[in-house]
Amino acid sequence: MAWGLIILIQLLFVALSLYNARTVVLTKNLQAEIKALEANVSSKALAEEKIRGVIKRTDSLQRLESQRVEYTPRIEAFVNGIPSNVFLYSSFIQNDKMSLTVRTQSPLEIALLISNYFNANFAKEVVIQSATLDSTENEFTTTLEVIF
Amino acid sequence: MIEFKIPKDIGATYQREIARKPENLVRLYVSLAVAAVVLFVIFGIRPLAITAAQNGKFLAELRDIKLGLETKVAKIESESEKINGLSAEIDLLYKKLPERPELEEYLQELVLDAADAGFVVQRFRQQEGSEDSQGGISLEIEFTGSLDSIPQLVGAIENAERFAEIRDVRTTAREDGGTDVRISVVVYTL
Repeated sequence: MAWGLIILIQLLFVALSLYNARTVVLTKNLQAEIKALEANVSSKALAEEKIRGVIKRTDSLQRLESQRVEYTPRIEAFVNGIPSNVFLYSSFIQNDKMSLTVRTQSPLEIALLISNYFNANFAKEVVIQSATLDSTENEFTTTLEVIF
Repeated sequence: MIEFKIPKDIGATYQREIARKPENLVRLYVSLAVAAVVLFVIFGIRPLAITAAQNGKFLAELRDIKLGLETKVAKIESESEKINGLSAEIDLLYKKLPERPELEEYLQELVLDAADAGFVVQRFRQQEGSEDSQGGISLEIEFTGSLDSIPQLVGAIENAERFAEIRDVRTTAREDGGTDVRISVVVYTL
């Protein structure tokens, strides 16, 4: 019984020693492989940086494009809606509204302008802010505010 | 005459002691053997077992690190291949959102685009303190041209290689029949 226990303990000792020796060898091998992989990753650092840059740029561009208000269709509708005998004196176009000052020979042309804007779905609301008549030249000057 | 009576069992105690001697030796050796085994377990096997357990953990961590690095290398390689195949699009992406303001290049492009739309760039001004937290730079550009061509001009700005966001557009009629156009634009850097 006692001899059996002693032999068992010796076997355990030998087994643990062998396991430790194997672990040390495996650890050394793994460390060498990790070192090689780290060198590989470092050599690809530029590529990684480029990838990060591209991803960041793409995300930023998508975000900016989604936030951007396109002016081209709005400006097209604005210019195309001005009747030929209406003289555009000035305009100020923003994201949500615009104001314009026009000169006409008749108030009916203002009505046509407003009608054009509504027909083109360009305006949700048109406010006539002022309308004056220059009686010497028989010319109407009208300032409108258009809400998109 | 003095008579000495010698007890009959005079050597019995001694003999008992003699008889016990081997038994005592056995006890001593057994005790020493047990002590040796206990010391061997405490100072030999126990530290060895602790070392084995720690080495096992270390080995497992090293395996995780290796796996992580292998995955990373594979990912970098696959992404690099994709990026190499998209170099033209990536160049365009860098032109849309450059790292530096590069306003000179933007102005050159803008002058050509405006000319195509029938406009002449009169003034180009960077608004003071215009750089915002998102890397945007506010610019104000003045053009002269005709009213009918404004959509083309605005389209050229919005579809230029450099990403630009128009903030507002002002037009004023000129006495010569042309139109002054002032456009506030934000261009971005990253």
